[in-house]
Amino acid sequence: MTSAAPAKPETTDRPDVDALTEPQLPWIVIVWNDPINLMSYVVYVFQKLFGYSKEKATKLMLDVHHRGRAVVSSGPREKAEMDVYRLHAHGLWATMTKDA
Amino acid sequence: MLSEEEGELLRGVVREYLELLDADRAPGDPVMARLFPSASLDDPTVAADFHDLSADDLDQHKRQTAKRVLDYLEPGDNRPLTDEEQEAWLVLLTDLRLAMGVRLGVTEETFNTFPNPNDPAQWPLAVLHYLGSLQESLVNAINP
Repeated sequence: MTSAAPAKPETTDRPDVDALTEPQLPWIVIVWNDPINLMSYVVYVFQKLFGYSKEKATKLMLDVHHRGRAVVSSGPREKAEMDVYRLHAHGLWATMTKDA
Repeated sequence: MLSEEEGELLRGVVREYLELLDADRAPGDPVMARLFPSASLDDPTVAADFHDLSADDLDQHKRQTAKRVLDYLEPGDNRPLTDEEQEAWLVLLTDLRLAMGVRLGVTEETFNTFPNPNDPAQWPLAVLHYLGSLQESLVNAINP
């Protein structure tokens, strides 16, 4: 698969530009329910990736389980991309979207 | 910890998984779509950008994880897992279960009944249950 999408600029001042022109927390990361992943494993992943307490991680896991999805983190686009990547690398189904 | 039979079963499943990663990917294959999910449901540009940024890394990560577990599964190696190996096992068991589960079309109800491992038709589901129980015991040992 190829794409004509331009490489992203890696200038260090980009976050400052974003901070001036966009809301402070423009992206959210959502984890979606799936019928296969173990509840205990999902709790473990939330604790490990985000440093959440077991209580908070369990509450998020139950939100995913009962409501079909939960917002697990938020921040600038680069952070959302990293979080989505780490979730995918752990087998969780995650997406990112602008927090409108 | 693992019997010889378990080791043999697991080596076979991990090799099949590596073959799956090597195979030509049919567009829209649900297993690959689950192992390499889209990062956006509503914005194709975000999804394409993310794919370009990360798909190769994720592919490499999956292969390294599988190879780390295969190394551990070499016959005769019964030492305790290192931290990196624990992580590799958890991640790989997840992917193995996702790949099998999507292929078999399982739902949450699937896990309420235990398949009969003596019935060849139910064997894949029995393996899926076994991988789940292995993962559950590993998670509980790491994160009681």
